[in-house]
Amino acid sequence: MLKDVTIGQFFPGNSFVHRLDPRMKLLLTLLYVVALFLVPDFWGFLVIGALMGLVVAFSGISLRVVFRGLKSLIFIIVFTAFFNILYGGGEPLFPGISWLGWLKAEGVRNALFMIIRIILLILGTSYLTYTTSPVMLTDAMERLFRPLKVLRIPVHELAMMMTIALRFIPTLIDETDKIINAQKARGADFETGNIVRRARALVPILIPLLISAFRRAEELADAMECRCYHGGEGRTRYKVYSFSWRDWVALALMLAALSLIILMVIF
Amino acid sequence: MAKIIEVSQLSFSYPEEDGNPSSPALHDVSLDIEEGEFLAILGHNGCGKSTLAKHFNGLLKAESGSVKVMNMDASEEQNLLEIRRNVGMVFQNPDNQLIATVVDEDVAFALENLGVPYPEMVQRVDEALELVGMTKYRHHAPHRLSGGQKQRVAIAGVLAMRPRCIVLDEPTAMLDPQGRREVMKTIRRLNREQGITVVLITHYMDEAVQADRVVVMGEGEIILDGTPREVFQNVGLLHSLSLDVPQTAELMFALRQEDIKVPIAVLSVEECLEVLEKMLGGAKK
Amino acid sequence: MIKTEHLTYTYGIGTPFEITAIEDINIHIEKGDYVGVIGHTGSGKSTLISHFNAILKPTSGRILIDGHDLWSEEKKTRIQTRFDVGLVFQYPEHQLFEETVYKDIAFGPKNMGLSGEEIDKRVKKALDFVGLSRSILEKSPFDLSGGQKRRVAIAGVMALEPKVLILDEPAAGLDPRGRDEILSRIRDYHRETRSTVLLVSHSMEDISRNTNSILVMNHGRCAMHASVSEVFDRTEELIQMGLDVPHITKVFIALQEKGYPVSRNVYTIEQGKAELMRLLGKDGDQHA
Repeated sequence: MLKDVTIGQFFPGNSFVHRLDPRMKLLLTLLYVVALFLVPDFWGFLVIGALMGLVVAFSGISLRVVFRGLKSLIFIIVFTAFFNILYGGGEPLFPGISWLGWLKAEGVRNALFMIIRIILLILGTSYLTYTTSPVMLTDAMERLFRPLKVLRIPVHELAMMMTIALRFIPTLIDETDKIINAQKARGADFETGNIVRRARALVPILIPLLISAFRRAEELADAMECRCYHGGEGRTRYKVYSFSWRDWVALALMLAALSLIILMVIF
Repeated sequence: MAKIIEVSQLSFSYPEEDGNPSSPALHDVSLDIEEGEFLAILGHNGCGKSTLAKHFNGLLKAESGSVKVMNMDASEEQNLLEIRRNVGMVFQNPDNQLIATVVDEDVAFALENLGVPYPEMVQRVDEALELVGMTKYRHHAPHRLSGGQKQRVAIAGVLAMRPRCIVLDEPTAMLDPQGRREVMKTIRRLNREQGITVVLITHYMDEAVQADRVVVMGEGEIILDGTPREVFQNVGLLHSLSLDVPQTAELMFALRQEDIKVPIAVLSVEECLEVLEKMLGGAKK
Repeated sequence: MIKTEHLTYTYGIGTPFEITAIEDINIHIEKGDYVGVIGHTGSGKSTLISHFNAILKPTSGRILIDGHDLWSEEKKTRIQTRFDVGLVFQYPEHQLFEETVYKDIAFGPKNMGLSGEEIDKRVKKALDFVGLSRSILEKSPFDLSGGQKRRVAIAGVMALEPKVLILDEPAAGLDPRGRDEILSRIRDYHRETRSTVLLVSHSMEDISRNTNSILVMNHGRCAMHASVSEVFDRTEELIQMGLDVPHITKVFIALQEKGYPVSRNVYTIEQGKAELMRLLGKDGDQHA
């Protein structure tokens, strides 16, 4: 079912991680990604893993939820691993067995390395979205990227578009489920036939979905106008953010981990 | 009493599509809405009631005639913000009017747009949620709420602007009976206790009888205008406009066709019971 | 026609949102019956009807259509079931997608693999059932009015010529004219095809005016399944379940409680009037 996708979902809560300032969380996630890509060897993952462990422990959201979400990405993970194994160099892993000659030590090591990196990457960014409401997230982006306005990048408009997209994703997912069932009730078959047939079978779903999205957009535009929306000019914000001790603790931990990894790279 | 909305000789037609010339959606409509009143507008789909409502806060501009809101011309661009702050609007589909992913953030949307400073904003969001009885759900995601709850959040989003008038365009059409009751209770309370002018567009007669005044529209014109009791006298006319009549009035109408002398505009179960008892007299066993 | 045995369905097993929507449903719907299905939101009505054409698979229990167990037999049975049991969802106009009304109504029959001739016959017949004129067949469904779109969508399911037709709130969001039109079309359809029809609705008025029997759902269970008059006889229970009883029913119950010899089972104006006339005729010349 479409409803099982957990990536990008927000789980409301009141944990330490939930209460971090979204701007800080965004910054921490950026630093986390940088650190992750700097990691030189498996020991580095221990540092990142420990950091991630803290996040899991202090967010109140169990790893199980994340791994359910991972299932839908298994393809990408397997794909990456496959290519790393295929194109990895080094000595054969099993020198005695000739038909396993393509399995080289270096390749397997690389594949493992990449898998861990991807999983940690997904974990880190997932926990950002799990613990931060999408509105707060776009808010934080709008604020962090405000300087870009100087470059004539419409930061407010982009943020508003993202907020609305995020708000309507669950609604449109529900709608898609309903349309699929309605067409199934008229005997539509989405499960058999070759690719062309299956692609064509999507038309009865996509067209109603598009029409519904347009209708909703029109009504939403009216509703926004009625509530005095007139662009970013002169707007105040409901969410006021201020850094607390939590943010500084989190930042300190992140910087410590990052320094450790940089040290690993140097030595 | 002061007039909050004055519509005079308003006409409007939608632009034609693919060579299908459209008949006028509104034709020479004049209507004054008093401050503090609860007005219901009835009419079948396509009779022009939504088109009329969209003129009340300048979503549509008068083609001819005029619409004045609190003495401001609704066709003047510079008045629009002030008009929309004072005349809030709630639509049929609650899903398509909530903007944020958390209830209280959605309620704050209009206040952000109006540039209300932060401490006052928090206070007004609290107040609006309290008025619709949704304080408990302030941190919930709108798509997990029931239809009635969503619609109450939409009303709170409008209330946060502290409007003098709320226009609701079939707010209960997509709700179940429970949701309809919740929304109607909220609307009534806002009118009675907060003195907010309410304009309710509806198909449901049991909602219309709760209003102070009922306007019936047909083919872009106002056909009846009066108290519910006056309007529901006209059972035959309402039938010809394909509108429902409260069941109790319908029963009276049926009895009168048999030459039994009963009043027609009987609008509640209690009233109907009284009339029937009088009529039946000593028919008890 | 439709039979369920201990039918149970749970959503989201293993997630925090796990909820049992229907539990231990044992019902038997007779061939040719016109059944009203009522219940508050979340009572399990929609979940129940989604089992009847194999859109949902029961968590436990069995469901038999015409004596065939839907889920113990091979897949072909279930595909055939989609055509035997036509399901019209809420706001069915949201499923329209073809360029013309004709093509949209023909979508179902085409999926059945019927001949062009047969499809043509069925499209026209379905269009007649919903009371639309042939002149709209070549129009785009998106150019129609709301009520017309709804009727085209219903015709799209009727064209399957199902043995059972299920409609989930077919009148939702329509004005009184559109509502009466659709309900009377469905009534005619039932009478003419003698097929089994299920009407899901929140409106007791609509149900009492149209159906022969009523299935009442409450908190995922089947609370009542009996004739219209038997169900309305239990008004107090219905009110307790959060359902709305027609005003006229309330009036007659109150009259009876005040000692007047009237029936409690009055739910339409015609019945009410007849009841009062009977009383007046018996008693008196005072108004005659």
